[in-house]
Amino acid sequence: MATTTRPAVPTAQAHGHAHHGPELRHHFETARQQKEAATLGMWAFLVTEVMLFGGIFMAYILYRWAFPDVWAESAHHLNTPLGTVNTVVLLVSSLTVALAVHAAESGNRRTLLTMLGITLLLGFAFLGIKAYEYSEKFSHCNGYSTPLNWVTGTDQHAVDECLVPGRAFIFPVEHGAEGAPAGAAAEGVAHGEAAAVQPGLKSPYQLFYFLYFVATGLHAVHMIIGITIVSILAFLSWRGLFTPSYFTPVEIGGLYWHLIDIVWVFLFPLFYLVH
Amino acid sequence: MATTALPQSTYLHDDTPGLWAWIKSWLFTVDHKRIAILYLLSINFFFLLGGLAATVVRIELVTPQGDLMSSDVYNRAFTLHGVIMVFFFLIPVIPSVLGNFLVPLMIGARDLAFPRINLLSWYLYMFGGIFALSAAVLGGVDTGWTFYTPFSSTYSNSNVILTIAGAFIMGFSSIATGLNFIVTIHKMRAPGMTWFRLPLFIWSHYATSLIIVLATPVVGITLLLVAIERIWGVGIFDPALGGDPVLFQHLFWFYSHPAVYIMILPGFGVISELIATFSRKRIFGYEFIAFSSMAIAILGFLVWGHHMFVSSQSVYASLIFSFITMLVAIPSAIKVFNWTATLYKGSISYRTPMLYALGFIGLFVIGGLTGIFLGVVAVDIHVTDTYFVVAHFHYVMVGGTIMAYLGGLHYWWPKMTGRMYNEVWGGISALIVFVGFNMTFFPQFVLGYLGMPRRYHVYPEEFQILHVLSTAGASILAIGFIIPIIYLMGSLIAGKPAGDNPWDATGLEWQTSSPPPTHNFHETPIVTTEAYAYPPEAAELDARSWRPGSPL
Amino acid sequence: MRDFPLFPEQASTFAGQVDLLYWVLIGLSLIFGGVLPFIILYLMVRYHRSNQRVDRTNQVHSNLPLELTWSIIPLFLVMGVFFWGAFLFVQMRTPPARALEVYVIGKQWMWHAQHPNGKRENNELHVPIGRQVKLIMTSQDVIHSFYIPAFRVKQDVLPGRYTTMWFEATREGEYHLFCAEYCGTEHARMGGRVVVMSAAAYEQWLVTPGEVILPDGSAGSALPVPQPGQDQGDPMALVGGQLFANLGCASCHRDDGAGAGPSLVNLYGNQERLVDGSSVLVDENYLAESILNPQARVVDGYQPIMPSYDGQLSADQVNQLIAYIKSLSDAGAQAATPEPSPQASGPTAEGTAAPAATAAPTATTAPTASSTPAAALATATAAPAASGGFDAALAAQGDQVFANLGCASCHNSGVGPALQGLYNSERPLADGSTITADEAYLIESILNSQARVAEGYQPIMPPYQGQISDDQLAQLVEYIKSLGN
Repeated sequence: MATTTRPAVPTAQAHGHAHHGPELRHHFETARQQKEAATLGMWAFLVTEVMLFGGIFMAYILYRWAFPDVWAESAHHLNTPLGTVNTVVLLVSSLTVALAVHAAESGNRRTLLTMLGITLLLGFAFLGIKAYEYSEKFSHCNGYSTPLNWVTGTDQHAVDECLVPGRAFIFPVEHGAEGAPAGAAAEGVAHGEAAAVQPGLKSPYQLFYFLYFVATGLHAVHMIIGITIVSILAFLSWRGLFTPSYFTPVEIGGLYWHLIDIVWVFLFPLFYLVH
Repeated sequence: MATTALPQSTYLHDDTPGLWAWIKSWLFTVDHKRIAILYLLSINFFFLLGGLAATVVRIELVTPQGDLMSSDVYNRAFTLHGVIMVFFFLIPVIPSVLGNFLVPLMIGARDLAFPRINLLSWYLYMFGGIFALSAAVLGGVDTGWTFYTPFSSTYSNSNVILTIAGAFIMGFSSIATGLNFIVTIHKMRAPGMTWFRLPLFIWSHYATSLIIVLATPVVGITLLLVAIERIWGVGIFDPALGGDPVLFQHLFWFYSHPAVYIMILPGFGVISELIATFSRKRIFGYEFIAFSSMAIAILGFLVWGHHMFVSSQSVYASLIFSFITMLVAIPSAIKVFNWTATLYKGSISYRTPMLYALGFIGLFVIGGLTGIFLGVVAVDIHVTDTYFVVAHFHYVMVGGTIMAYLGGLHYWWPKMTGRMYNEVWGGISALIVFVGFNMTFFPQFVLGYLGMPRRYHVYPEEFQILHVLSTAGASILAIGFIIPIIYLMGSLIAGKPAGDNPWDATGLEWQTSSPPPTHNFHETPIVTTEAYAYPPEAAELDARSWRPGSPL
Repeated sequence: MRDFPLFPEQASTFAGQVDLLYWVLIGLSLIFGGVLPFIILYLMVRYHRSNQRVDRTNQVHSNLPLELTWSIIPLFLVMGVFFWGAFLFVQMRTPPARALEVYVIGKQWMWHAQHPNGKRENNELHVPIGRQVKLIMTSQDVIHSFYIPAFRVKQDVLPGRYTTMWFEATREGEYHLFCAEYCGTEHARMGGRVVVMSAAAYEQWLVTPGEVILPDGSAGSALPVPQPGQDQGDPMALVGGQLFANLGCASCHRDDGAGAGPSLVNLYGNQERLVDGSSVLVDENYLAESILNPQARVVDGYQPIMPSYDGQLSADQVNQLIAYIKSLSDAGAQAATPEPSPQASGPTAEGTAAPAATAAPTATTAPTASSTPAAALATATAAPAASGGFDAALAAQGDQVFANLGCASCHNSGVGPALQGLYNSERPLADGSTITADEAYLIESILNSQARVAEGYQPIMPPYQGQISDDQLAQLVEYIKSLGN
């Protein structure tokens, strides 16, 4: 076979770490190769993440196309101001992550730590607001006023509004009936609506909220993973692991954070702003 | 004794003494070759298990009355067969065993890009397998491997969740492998190993990895949604929840049709290697074979709807899917023609791997052509969900993937173990598999066109003769699968040392010792030629040097 | 040994066409799949390494013209079969306008079919030879698939949705009927036979009485009991019309379009504008959706007030309602009208469906609970009015009338005021005043419902003046009183 060979170090044990830093794993030739491999790997992984959400988006598109008015109506019942705040929080956190990567690149450990810290805080803020939004939805549901109740499943009886899919799911039909007088019978009907017409679990409204909870829930899981990653990065940089020549973990961790951010940038208008 | 002739420092060799250290050195290994061996053992275990379920199914089908087992047992048996064979054998088999072992060797790398993720992928595979097995042990699952809603989400009374969890976890194992291959092929090639010097095995694995990375997450989220719907009664597929059961089929086949190419594309890669080596000449139309793999990978994403021609999908959608399905036939045909052309003016030897490769071409041609039947909508309406489909995908999956896997295993066995197996038995078993396979599945085409629906254990009596024929063939096929296990195991003890390059093949994997050292190459190779760089006179010389008594 | 076929029988107009395409595909396959192995075998032998006489010099490793040839020729061939298959497919999926319509329900694990005259059967399908038959199919549980190999037709049957399929049988005989989509434990036993009969035999069969298990598990008559005055028209639609009346649908869906719901006359087969501005083709799917989930797509100009009938109607009954609604429209009636058949002389041969349209709405007002004994009237008048007591026997009859008139569809769903605790209570009216809901007010509200409407409700209730007998009125009043005060 017409290949030439060049001598390489026979075994890993022997080749030691004389001519490169300890972070270069022995199956890579150069630090650059290792870094490129890690980055490409992360990008490929992000593609799988996008496809993971892609399944939900596909279902979303199909049902939105089938029930456009249901979608518009349902979106009214989500807390758009809080969603907007969360969007801003995440966008700012993306900025701080980018600054963190930059700080790592220029070897500024102090800034790196600060930026990772702010990112963490923003991440927790996002989750907190999300948790508040969830609890707001759950609190309207009789019988499963907390997610734990929902999972364990206890007997319920219907209340006026419950936007968490499940046995007590009730979507209140009210077209601009904000000032309607209290009283079950009077409300709505005066505005040409029937108070009792509250689509339950079998309605397309359920589909909207199910997709909402699955999509944002999956996103929240990614947020938790992202926060864990950023915490580890902060710990490692506190230990002084990163140098301007080796900061790949910060870079690919940052990529992951940006992905979470981008997914939310899609989720937000799709769920909160479709009306 | 032969043992002494093996190289001393190989990936199989351990420095540290003691049983526990030995076990640990395997279970915590990050060496792609050892992980390939772990996969080899576990995947073959699942293959035998799936085969056992198939045996049960075939025995039941000998009589039309359904007298051996109840409906429930039968439904669980074919589901177990499908789930294990698809998710735990066909999808991972060639990439995880042969690919894991060979991708770094073929491109001149010391390991895959992410060795620890590679190990993780094996653990995920085992973990998923344990879930699927526990589902089977705890009473089985009866949804069929396709998990159609609302049957799987609402009506089935079996262990759907455990099985789905198994398939879900196994999906991440696939993703880990696919990711590793993509990055490795992009970034870890030896100096001089340009894209168009890559062996076709690498090209096909690259195409496979792209499909894995793009499609597997979709089935992951889909199965997750089914599980949520089943556990908590909320979801988007059951019409009782306002949902659309056909949406599940779209999402499922968006993965599961490309998954068919995840199974067969690596097989194409193996066959390309075998044909070139045993013809002793360069492969014909290298670029066309390489690009046809990529074309199949891309088109494979656009044809999922051909599984749904009778599902109430709109007429227009069906026509579009049918049209694109027709296009997939072309790259597949290109491959077959190029392999055939490679034989021309070669110096062909009938070694065991080559017999499997030739068998592969024969069976894949039938599988591929009947795929066209199924792609033509008007004919598909009659034959879909019948034994015609069953026969078709077994021709592609068993006749394609398993023949390629066995061929590849026989081809690289000397490299993996350092030893030769008994080639007489090798040839015999290849022949038995080929004959048994055709006898099992060809009658099923006839059955299918007669209208025998799949997943039936009770059937009209006039179908019995063909079913008996099929079962008889299956028992021959089973023998054909068992013989290699025996002589390959035997070769580990009594096999002759194979030497570094027993087939006189090109390719970097043959440049290193057999078995290879832990870091693959004592010296990093620098590549200066294309793949299959047999000199023009290689075939002539090979033929001239043949004497009676040389291997056929 | 039994004979065993290698090729299926051809018993429909599609069979020959599909088989022809199939044979052509086999022919093309033999050119490739049959010849190629011999080429490979030839090359294997000729170029085996032991053959030292052949020329192995001047090897070629690629040849663009050759590659293009074996890419383009197969491309043309597969395009040829694609277009052939596509045209045939479109034909198979386009039901003719004038077909015999049979409703099919799939459930675990049986098939239930109902013919236009109401005749039902399980796990069998009787069809006349030489007639186009359209199956309108739905499932009660999981996905099934209706498959008749001898006809070369198959169609999945889905829950919550109607799918259709059509064929024309060409040979008398019995053929297999299979469920082709895996549906659970007894999937393999979910099937039966399709019987193709001469037109005369089919007509005869249609009126053969019998018993069948209905999809809801109860036993029922295979043939609807013939009712006087209903020997005209499509009985399936007539049964639906009766159901329509019993449910009180007509109180909103008035023919003149003046009701709270849209008129159903000439609805089927036409486009309807929806409140969101889009439009929908009124087909079986839309009708079923509108019955079971009325809020999903509301017709423009109407309020989403119709209660859901999901869980209240069997799949069978939904089919009957759909057949009735279809009979109200020209498009639907035409489809249901059979082609003139020379042997069509059976006693209940399907005639024209048109009369059903005019006959059914009047059924709403016909006293359906007409078994009122004379004594009841006497007790009714003698019943103490002010004490708050009520006559239990009368109230029970009133309950029946209430149900038959379909009052519950509004008064139990919130469209109209709930009647519990209404009697003798003070109620605000729409004009701002209040009133005591005494007997007089109840009677007025039934007979002249627009006069004094309760606050918060719309004047949509139809007046029952002249539509119910005095007996029934008394019974209704007692019933309402029985609901408490």
